[in-house]
Amino acid sequence: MKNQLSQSGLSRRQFLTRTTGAVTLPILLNGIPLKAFDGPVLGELFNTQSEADRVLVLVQLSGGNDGLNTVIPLDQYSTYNSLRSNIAIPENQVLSLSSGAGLHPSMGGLKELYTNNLVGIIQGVTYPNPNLSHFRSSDIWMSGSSSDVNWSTGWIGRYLNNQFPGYPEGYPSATMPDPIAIQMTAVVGLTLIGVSGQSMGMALQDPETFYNLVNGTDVPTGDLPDTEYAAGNVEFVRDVQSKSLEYSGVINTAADKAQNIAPYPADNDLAEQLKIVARLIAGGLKTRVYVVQQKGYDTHSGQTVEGAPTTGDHATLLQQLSDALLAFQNDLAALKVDDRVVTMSFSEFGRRPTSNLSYGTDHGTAAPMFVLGTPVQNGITGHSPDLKDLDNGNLKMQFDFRQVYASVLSQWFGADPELIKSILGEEFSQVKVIKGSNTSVQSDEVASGVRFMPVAPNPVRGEARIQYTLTTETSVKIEVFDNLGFHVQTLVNEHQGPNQYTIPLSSTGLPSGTYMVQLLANGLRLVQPMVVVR
Amino acid sequence: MSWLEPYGGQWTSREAAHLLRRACFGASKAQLNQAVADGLQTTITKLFAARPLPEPPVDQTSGVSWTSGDNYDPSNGANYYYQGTRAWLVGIMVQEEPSIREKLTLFWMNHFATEGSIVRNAVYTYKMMSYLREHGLGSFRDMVKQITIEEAMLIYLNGNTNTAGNPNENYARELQELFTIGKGPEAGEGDYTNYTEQDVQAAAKVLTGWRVDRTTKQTVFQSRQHDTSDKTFSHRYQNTVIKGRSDANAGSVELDELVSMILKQPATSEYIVAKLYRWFVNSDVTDVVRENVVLPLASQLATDWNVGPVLIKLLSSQHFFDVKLIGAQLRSPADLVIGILRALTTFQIPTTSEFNLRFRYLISFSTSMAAQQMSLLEPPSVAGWTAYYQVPGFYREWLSTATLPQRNGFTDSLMKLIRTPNGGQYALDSVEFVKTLDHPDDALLLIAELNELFFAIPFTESTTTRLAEDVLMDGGRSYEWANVWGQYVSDPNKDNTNKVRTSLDRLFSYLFRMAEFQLF
Repeated sequence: MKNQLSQSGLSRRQFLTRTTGAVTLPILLNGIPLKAFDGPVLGELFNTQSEADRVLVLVQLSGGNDGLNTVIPLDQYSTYNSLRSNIAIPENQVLSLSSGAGLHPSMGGLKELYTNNLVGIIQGVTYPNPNLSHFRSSDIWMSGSSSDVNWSTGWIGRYLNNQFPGYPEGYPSATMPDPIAIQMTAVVGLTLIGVSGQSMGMALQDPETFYNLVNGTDVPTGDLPDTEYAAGNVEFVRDVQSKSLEYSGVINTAADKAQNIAPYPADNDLAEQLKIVARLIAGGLKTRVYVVQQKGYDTHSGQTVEGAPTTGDHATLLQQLSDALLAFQNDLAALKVDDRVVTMSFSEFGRRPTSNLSYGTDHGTAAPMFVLGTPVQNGITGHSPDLKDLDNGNLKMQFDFRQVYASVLSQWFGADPELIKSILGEEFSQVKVIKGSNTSVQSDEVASGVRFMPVAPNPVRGEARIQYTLTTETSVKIEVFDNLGFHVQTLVNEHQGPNQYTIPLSSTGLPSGTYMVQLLANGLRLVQPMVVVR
Repeated sequence: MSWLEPYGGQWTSREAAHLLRRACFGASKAQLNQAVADGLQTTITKLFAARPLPEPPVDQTSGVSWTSGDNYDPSNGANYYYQGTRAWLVGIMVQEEPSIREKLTLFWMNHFATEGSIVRNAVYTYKMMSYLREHGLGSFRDMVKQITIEEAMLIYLNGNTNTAGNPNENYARELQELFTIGKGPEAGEGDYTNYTEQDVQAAAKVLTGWRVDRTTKQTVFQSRQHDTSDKTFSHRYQNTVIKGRSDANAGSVELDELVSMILKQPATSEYIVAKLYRWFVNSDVTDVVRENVVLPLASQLATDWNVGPVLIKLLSSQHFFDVKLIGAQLRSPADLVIGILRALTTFQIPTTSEFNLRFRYLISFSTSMAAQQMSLLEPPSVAGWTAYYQVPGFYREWLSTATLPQRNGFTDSLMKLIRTPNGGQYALDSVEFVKTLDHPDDALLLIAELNELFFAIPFTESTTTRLAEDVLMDGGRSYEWANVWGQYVSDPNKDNTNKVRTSLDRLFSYLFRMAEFQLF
């Protein structure tokens, strides 16, 4: 098996990048399900340096961010204004984006990033049967569960536990000497709890203080108490001690190695957290996930100032968020690590479209998510929420947050569909969060003599064009699968010479939904997603 | 079953210390000895005895009282008064005679959580805390009714802007989800087993019309802002209808009916008892604990809603003294900071006459607690501190790679000199402190005494020996300590003092960094 992989020159990262958009298609390696290859050999092959470099930064906006005053539906401005006239952002002050949406006027920083193609906005994200309790809904978002079950592990925790099995036993290790995940708060949240109930991450506030405080603690040893609760508690505390001791050195070294280059805004707690994250990434920590937090979004009252709707608590929060994200992104670019960092925001829920008389908003449902970074698919996915089609006074779902999680796990971390299904409990179709192609794939495609272009137009209403280029003679097979992995049709199955090819594909007769177009040529398996709309 | 029968087993300093830790953060050696001498029943009687209320806080700069609202100068900023109140509260918690009152007040402040940074008026927060301090052992029914219309709560959960024309559901939701009946599993869309979204909306209507008057700064009921319609609740509340009223008493009458309706549900007393159990006993409410402890106490509570008898029964029960529950908790920052300070009898906290100096001493402890993620009067959310509800970790929420080092930093700092205008002192003067113990000259006995005073679980013999030899004697023999100490006692010159201080500081620093120390 190893030989076959080597022959086709596939690294895990390239292999999986190519399956970008593969929704539920079982990954097949020369016709054998990938799962059959699980084992040490494949593990070794797949644990490539390049993939381990990829970092995800999660920004938790605690309290329930008012999505409608964050990304304003300019295409429905009068409805928007009538639902919340006391807090509506004046139309001419909205920072207009494409697709009939615009940003809150205090988010100039984010607008700048958007203009530079560094921001993806996913509209209308929530889950079926939304729960309006902060605590329950936060748990749902952090665990990645549906609203009718309680999970006590986190979606990132489960993913990382799969990548670093057996943690904490045997960690830090030669291949993973650093904390696997870091939460820049005093406490590690549910997001990072792994399958054994053990957090995959560590809490960190300031690296220097941490180092100095840990210095002086002994490696914890000794007998355990002979009662169960007490023994469990001692083991737990010793584990925290060990982790602190083991990681304080590497964190301090990484923090010392890099200095922030771009300026960060003052008096901005989120910026302080991101500033440390940038330093740790640039300083060489192999940490895969960072979690940062901004609090205060529970704007039941005083969200805006009476008579001055562009000011108030929410404006301040969004300004801090936007300024912090801009500084962070600039810093990552200056530190030359921006190509391996993706940042994603989330909040437990959005707020109700109708404002209250206290210049605030009550708990609601769907809200936009931001995905930022050089690798992200920029632009707006979905549409402005339909303000005339509400569900019990609340916004309807366009995307399940677990679709976004599945997309990040697949497109950014290269997790295969089986793994994603095991993490999220069921299969979710994906949205595009990461740009489809990157340098390594292109060079690999060039080397192999095969290039597969994205389907155009996409979404497709009538006829789509399937385009590919061969620079070598090879047998070519192009097939279409639906989102359950069922074969729909074969477009090409023949030996072809070097040339550019355009194959028409009629979507007539295909039910609307997501499809995969798969190209097999010269030992490569390339996939392009296609969305059919009616 | 015998779980709630009065405990009749051995009564040594182990059991007494367990009770004093859980009931009042910890105790001094003398208080511990007293409890051992008193026996369980007398100790319980003393812990629950009515006590005079403490003198209110004073302005840390001028020394005048501001809690009535007079002398409260908004230009100082709200935080100025919150800081004053925090320092005051630390002082009370450290200096009160053994009593359940402060631990219970903190429980209620965590249960009916409000955040100072949102209330932004320490007069209101202090008033609410004083109510809970005075009535914490009393009727839960009265408590719910009073807290609902406390100024701090009206501001915090927007009851203040809940009007007939524009209901605000914030308080109505938390009242049920967190303060009384608790949220059950989601049984259907908007149905949380114990109540539904319909009940949130109906309760919000019941509660319309209450607000903090801008002039008098006190709660008033404005009947014209009150929703006079009939409020219909779901099948979860037996389809109860609370009749709409429009008179001046409409607010109190409907509130009374609302609270009665909620308290009539068995889920409410169970929820409250389970919460008390997690605060005072253990986070793990197993099926057998529920059946043998929580449910019997819940039915007792539901008879007249008096909290005191329920707590007395719990804290004197066989179950409470079950050896496996000793050390089942992990210290909260209050258990850590206050617990240590209560034992440090050699530490002279300036008296209330030196109000500014006293403030500066005490605020430093409150700040340490905040760094360890327990800021008094500032819980992280309306659900209170996560350690008391967040599954699966519960108390483990307190300890992370960020907060554990903070604790180490704090305990080390106790042995650093606090400089004051008239010289200085150590919070933990290790030399003077061990002199107050029974066996300062015997390394093994000294460590056993410190173990009893500061640790929930006993050291094994090998741990005691290791601490004596490796830590106190820094690699020497434990019996040599008698000579070192003896030299100091016979000639307490600078060199001899420094020698014992270095050894003892090393011992204390080590003890407080041990994982076992975090058990409570």
